[in-house]
Amino acid sequence: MVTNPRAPARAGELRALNQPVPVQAFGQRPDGAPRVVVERGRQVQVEEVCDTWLVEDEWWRKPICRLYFRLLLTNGVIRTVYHDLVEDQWYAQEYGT
Amino acid sequence: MRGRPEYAELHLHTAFSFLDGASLPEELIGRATELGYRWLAITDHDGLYGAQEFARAARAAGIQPIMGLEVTLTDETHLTLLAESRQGYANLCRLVTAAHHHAASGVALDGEPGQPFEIGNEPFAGQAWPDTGARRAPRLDPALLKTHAEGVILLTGCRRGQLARLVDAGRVREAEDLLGRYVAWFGADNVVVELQHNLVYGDTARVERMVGLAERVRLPYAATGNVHYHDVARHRLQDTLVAIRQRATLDTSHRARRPNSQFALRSAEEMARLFCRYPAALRTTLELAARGAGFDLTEHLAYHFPAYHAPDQMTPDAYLAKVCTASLHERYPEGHPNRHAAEARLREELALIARHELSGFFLLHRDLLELARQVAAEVRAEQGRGAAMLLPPGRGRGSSVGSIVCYLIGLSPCDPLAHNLSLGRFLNEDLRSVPDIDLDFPREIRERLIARIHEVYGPDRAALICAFSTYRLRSAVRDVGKALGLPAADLDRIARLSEPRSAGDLAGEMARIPEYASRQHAPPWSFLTELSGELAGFPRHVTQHVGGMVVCSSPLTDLVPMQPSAMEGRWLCQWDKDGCDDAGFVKIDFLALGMLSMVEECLELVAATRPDAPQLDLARIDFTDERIYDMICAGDTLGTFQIESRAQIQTLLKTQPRSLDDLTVQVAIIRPGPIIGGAVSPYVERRVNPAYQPSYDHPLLIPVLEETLGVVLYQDQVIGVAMAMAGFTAGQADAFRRTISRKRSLEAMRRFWEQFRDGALEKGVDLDVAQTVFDKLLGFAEYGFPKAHAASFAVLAYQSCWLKYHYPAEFLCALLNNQPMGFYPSHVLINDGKRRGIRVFQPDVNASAERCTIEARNGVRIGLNYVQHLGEVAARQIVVERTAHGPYRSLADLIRRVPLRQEATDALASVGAFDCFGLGRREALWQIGLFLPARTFGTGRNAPAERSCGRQLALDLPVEQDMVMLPPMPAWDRMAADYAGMGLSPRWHPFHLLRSHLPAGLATTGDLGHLPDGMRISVAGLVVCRQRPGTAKGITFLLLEDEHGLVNVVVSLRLYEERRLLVRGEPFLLIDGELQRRGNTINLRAINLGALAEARAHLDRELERHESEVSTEATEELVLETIVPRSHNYR
Repeated sequence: MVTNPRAPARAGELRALNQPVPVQAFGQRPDGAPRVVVERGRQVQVEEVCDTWLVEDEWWRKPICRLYFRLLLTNGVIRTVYHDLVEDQWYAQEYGT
Repeated sequence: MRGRPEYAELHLHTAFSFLDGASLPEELIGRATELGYRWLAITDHDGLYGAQEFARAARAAGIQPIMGLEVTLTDETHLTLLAESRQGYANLCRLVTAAHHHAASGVALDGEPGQPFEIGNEPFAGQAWPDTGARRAPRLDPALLKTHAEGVILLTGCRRGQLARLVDAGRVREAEDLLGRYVAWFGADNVVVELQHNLVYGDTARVERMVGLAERVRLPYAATGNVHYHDVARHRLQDTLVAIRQRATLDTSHRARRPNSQFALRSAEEMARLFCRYPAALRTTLELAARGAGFDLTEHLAYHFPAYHAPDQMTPDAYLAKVCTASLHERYPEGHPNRHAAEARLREELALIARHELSGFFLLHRDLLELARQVAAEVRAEQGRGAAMLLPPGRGRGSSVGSIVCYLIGLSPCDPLAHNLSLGRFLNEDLRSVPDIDLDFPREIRERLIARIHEVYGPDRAALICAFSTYRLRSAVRDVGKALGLPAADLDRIARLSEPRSAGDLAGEMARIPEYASRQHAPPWSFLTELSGELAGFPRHVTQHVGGMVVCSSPLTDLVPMQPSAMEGRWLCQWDKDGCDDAGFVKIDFLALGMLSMVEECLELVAATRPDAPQLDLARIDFTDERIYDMICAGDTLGTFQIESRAQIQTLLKTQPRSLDDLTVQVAIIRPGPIIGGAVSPYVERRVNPAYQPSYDHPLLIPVLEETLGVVLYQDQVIGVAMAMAGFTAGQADAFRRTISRKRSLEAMRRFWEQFRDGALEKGVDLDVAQTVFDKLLGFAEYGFPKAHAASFAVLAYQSCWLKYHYPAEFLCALLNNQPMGFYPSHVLINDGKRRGIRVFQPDVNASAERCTIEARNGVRIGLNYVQHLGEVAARQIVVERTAHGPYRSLADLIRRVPLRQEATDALASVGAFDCFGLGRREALWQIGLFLPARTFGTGRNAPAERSCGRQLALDLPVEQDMVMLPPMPAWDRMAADYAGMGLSPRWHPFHLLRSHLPAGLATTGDLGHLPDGMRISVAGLVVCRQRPGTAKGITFLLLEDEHGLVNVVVSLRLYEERRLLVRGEPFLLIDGELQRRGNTINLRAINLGALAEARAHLDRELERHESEVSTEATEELVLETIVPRSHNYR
């Protein structure tokens, strides 16, 4: 049994996890994926698009429309980014695993 | 250069995947045509509801339809199954039936071997068909797949498939074993690994693993789209449908909704791009499609009507001729004026019947009627209804009434020769499908008969036809609005104040309601209108057709899946009337007609109140009784059959029918078809002015339209006109009639027009005249009766009038006992009865039976079943106990002897059912509080029912000291309580009590007969009916009732738009208008209208004063608004 911590719940201290981070991405492939992603100020070429998926939701309130790409970069790093199709902005966000 | 990719979609849901598929079959087919599809499968969830519609639409578009479905197994996983042969299709039907059977029986079928669940020629052998009352979602026992694999191609299913789940979980070995099992059941050629990529996270990895798995076990794989809508824009509707299905909002149904809009029908190019690493995935779809084309629902369904085995080794033709001839000798004896005509007509019909091999069909109906006769005798004997024994068990309606064979074998109540009824609409040389024979039965006989037919033919060979409840404006507003999380009160208000139209009209309706007009253009209200519009006409769920049954010589479960009905003991086939028609099923219509039940009960009441009088035989009453026609001509027909509606009464006053033939016209004329076709005015004009000469569009039409004064009044005349003017054969003309009276295909209409035009031109008819006549026929097609049907109904209309005239109290009593039926609610019927001198008595625990009864010869005692919240069981207990042990001496005595819930006793007290104890209603309510205080003490939630009913008086403690004298309820409150508790008030009309509070100078309905035409008057009344027929060009009709009678109020479109909320929602109205007198008819043309605000305020003040003077007790919370009669229909 968990002991009662006797401390009130503090909603103010809740924080969102895995928040998307703005990222710079350039050049568009036919499948919508970028050709280049900026990593720590350096432009890195996309070697392969490993996976693509689309998330659409909340169209009745504040629409969400994100086209995600899992990218293998030429520096060997695997990065998940998404193209926010509502704002036309790119973000990095780890997903799923 | 690579060619254009090709792909066949093999996993597609239509709107018949209820509350999941977001496009109608025709929308999907339309999109598939644009995308160049050559094959398309339908794979709805657990059913083939839309298969006929889909197959026919696909065929018409040049696409090969493939039959399939997505079954849900008992472990909640999905499998996709496609039929490649007739046997495969039969197996799909059996599997779906089994899944629904399982759901109904609630049997936990876990797929364990050793518990075979047989479906075959003797389906469900050894297992009783389950109680169909308790339904659950259909679930298929996977063990059944093995025995129903022949002709079926198995695809491993969507991401909810068992294989996908195992692959996702990395349980590769189990996945291989599962595929091994499928191969063992279906064969390696018939198992295909299904790959889906809808841009959902995880799809790419899963597809890769499944391809690897398929290659390892050497099975083919195929791509499918898991299509749920035809266009990506529909994903919003799909999300909404999911929320509706989950009974949740969009906000709270996140996990159940699909993650994106990629479940639309995609082009072959798109699929090729998605599966570019696996080109075989698309190739396989083409191979499977070619195999699926081996079964075509539009061609390969083999339905056979049960063969008829005539006695003495006679052929059905010979036997039918023998039966008919014997009957003809009875009904048209030698010397009968129509004897020779009858013989000639019988010869003609028998020849046609033999030619179309329909003798067995007619004889089977004769047998069914015989079965109905047995059932009727049983039901009537059980109910002690000796007086109804002379009545036939049922009677024919529809075009079959024009057949002399139907008349001679007892299916039709009308002599077709005496009524000059034609045959062509029912039987003709070119008959392309089996004719309809519709039979009406009293409700209770029909219920028993359906069960008996299931017994006689076997539950697998007889089924009721289903119907699809479709979304209309109100249902769409409520469901979509709830999914969007909009306030329920707003949705209710919009639904209530809107016209009951197509959901596509919602934007227009909201624009007319001031508080919503401005909101509808911004979210979330804009979504409500947009989504409701898309949802218009979508099937929502399956219901039971009003009376259609199909019977088959072989198991129906090989032709169409069957599922339990909501009513115990009944099974539905998964196709509606049109689907069964397309399949060539022979439909038998057993319709419940409330008026037949009412007539039976009325005869019984007459026999009970006049035990010495001879038994009435309604078939032998005088059908020329002038007194009855006088009553009809005076429009005194409330409660009668077919000629009681507001519009009918208005017309009766003009047409003045004086014979059954006139009544036949009367029954047929107030229908959308004749009204739109302009049949009413010429007919009325001729009745008023015998010198009136009807005009005809062309002399060729005179023989056809002479009897109806140049206009098309009956369906038969559509046939007649097409034959006379365009030279159609009877069969062509009937096919034309059928086409224009159901869903119209533009292509079919074009073909008929060309044929009609060419035929008319050949006969020398001008093109513009041919076009005019053709357009009139189309106008008529909205809805009209065949003459034979109208003649049959006219007989019953007259019989009901005859009963109303001669036995008004029994008529009213039977009418009240058979509600709901007809046009008027009970309170209007009793007010009509009281105006005819009938006394209506309050319900009384010491005098009322369960149903209404005749009392004091000319009085009607309201039955306990009219007391809301009392319940059938409690009403019966009160009567049984009283009959067994004598009248109740007091309220305490009643509570001691009958275990009633407080809700029930309160309801009885509120409507004055304890007045017999000398108690006012308030005193009775007070005493209930004393006698039932322990109801909640010591009785937990699970306490036995009798304890919770509370019999506090066991200790016999004195309560006298707690008794109080309370002033009686004011009359208004008693009346309001009557309406609230019974929907009627036996003693008062609201205007009896309101009149003195109304402004001076108002006319009453009793004055209208003496006032001149054109006079400006004001009338106040209770709105008992609101109608806005589509044929009336925006005019709204209100039927206003005061304490003296009824008046028809005509509200113009302009006034309606100005005062819409009042017209649609206010129970009491004050109409300022002009009296219009046209012959015998009186209307009030509304110039202005308003609520009775001042009178209400005055009355409220008086009630408050009354309460403060006589008592400090809290007043009943019954105000005028509670008297909203249940008559607010919008028919």
